[in-house]
Amino acid sequence: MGQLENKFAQAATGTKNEEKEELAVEKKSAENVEANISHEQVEAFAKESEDDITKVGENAASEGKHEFENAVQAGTKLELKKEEIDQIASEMNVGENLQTKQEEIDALTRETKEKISKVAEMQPESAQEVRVSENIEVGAESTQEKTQESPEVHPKYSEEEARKNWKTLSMEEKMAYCSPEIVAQEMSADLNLKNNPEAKQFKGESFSENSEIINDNVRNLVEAYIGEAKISPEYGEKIRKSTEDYVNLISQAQKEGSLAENLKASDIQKISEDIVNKMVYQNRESFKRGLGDHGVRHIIDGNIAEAMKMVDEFNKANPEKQLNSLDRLKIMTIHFNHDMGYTVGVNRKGFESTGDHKYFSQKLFESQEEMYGKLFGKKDLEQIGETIKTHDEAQTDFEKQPFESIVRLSDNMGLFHDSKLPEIFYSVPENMAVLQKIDLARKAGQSIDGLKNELKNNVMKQEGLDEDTRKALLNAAEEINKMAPDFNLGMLAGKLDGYEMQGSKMVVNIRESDMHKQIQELFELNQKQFVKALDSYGIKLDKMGTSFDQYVKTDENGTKYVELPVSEGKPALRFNFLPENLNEQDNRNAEVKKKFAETATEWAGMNIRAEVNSAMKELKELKETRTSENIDNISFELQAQLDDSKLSTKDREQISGLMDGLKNSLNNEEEFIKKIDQFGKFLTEREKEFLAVN
Amino acid sequence: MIFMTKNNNQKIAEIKAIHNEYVKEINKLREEQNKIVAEFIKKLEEKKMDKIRSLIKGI
Repeated sequence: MGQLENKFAQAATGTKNEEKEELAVEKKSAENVEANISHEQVEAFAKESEDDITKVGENAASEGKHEFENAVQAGTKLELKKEEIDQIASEMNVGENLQTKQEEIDALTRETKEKISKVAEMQPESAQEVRVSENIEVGAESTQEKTQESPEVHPKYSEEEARKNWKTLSMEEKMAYCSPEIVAQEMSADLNLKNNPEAKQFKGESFSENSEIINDNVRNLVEAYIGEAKISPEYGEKIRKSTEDYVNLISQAQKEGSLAENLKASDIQKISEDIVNKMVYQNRESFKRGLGDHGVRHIIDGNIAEAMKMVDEFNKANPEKQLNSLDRLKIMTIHFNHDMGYTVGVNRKGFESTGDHKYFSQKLFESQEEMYGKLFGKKDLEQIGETIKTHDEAQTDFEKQPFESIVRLSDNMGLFHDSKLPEIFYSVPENMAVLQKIDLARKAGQSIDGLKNELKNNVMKQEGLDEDTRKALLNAAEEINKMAPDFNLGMLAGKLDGYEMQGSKMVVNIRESDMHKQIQELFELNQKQFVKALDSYGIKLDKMGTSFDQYVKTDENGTKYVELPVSEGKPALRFNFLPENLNEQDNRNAEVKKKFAETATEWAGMNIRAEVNSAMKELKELKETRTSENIDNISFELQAQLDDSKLSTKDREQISGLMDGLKNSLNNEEEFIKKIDQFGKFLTEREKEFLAVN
Repeated sequence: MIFMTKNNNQKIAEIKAIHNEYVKEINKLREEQNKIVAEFIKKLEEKKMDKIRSLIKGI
């Protein structure tokens, strides 16, 4: 998880002088080209180039953020109120547009670095394994050196100040904000149980004769958390089941011979507890933030479930190089740990530092090497740490890196995880009607705060929800914003519908359901989520000046698809965009459809949007019609065509007042336009009540 | 060995080209970013002018 949240989150220092940057490249290359160059020198040159690119990219991203902050400050100096500045920013979509640019900068930087790495590598393919082991050895040494020789770096600022200055900090300075000891202490304090469950005693030392006891102890621990309301029964059960799967995989890996036979029960017990604790803690922390879900739903329901399906498909197609139980264990370990960086103090507020959560997650995991080293070998530990760090990258290659590719693809597919949230919204037609009203209010240029409160009240009143889901729904309701309700609802665009491996290419099926289709139509989502999915793989449709429908291809069976070329023109991924399955129609659809129709009919029977817009059109477009007499005529005609069922006496008084305002500003065009806009937003009492506008 | 050296020289040249292309593209994105902010500032200034005009009218 992370790409969406990485806006403005890249750190930056470095030169602003682009010419200097180009000259530096020229100089370095000239020095190297003249001499006989070894592979090591190429690698060093590539590394330098990549470092430069990182700096330039970070600098560019930071510039946008700073310029925006300066502009807001300038607005304040112009004595504009915060709400006025926010309103203008919101109307112009400044935040969203800048975010898109920053994502483009990030993607360009990432892709360029990948290109350079590829050029520098050019190793014989069979050397892949050797390289991995070499890297690990180097990594292991440098870690040792770090702990022995590097002086400890202390945080430069308070967390609040650090967030403000995040982009000016070096990676070393940033990492000083991630203290594994503090995270462990905070986690322990948060999960502190009044009644600790008593652990069942092991029969002997070995894991193999005690795996059932470990599962029982895990169950007791989870039940204790449920008992003291640290986690809901539903989510607790998911954590227990997932941990049990993990323990069973260890047994399976032992049978396969990929894990040692002499594992100790007490070591595996500790690891199992660590997983339970981290999952409960991450779930609790996730609800405190509006950043999206990093808890059970994301990690267990989403990433792990999808990753395991991908492993199955990969293994079916590659019987000669199957991923084994040890690989599955490592994938689970990565997913349990990959978002732990969000729980680090500095990431609890704001979004400046959250983009670096993956580095924190890696550091936190590596601080537990001793514990996890009792289960995994050194190379495996290194691979887990590295993949935690790169979990949100787009690079996919099922031939050479199936393991990493599965971790990344399952995390990137978060956009399509078949989320329960829309399901729950969908189960209650009243909620869908509120969402529909939010869309109507947005189109009428009105505040949606009242409707958001209505939605939250519905969620509060809804029976049969566990507390975690209720909190998640409240968060979701809160995150719906006026300019883009579809941002939050984007997840409704489609759902994952299985994978299939074709050679070295993974086919990902994304299916539209009738529910998705209805919501897409209502909110005019227009394949937004599919577009977003392509975006995370570096396909920028807006930049390419093309639409989703133009970009996708159609195969001989009429299936719409996109293939992503990863290297040497060979695609590693194919996304099939499948239409709804008519045999699997949702029974609730008819009811929701009916509710949509009722709401639309009710709105049609009361709203005066068309009349107001038509009345204003002439005054807005034709200056010569702006006379006192014409305004009176328009007012008269408008009120005459609307009967008392639509306009109350108070409404009529207000319309007259607004018309007077128009007449009074006839000599001031800007003021006149403002009054017209004001009139365009006028709501009758009935409309206000319907859209919950004060 | 001679072949390897030549190959490595080519790699350096290729990396250089990729790097320069990157600088070019990133500058375009910088400009686009600056444009977004510049338009935002312009709107803020317009809003301020509106307020001043309203005040003058009030007097």
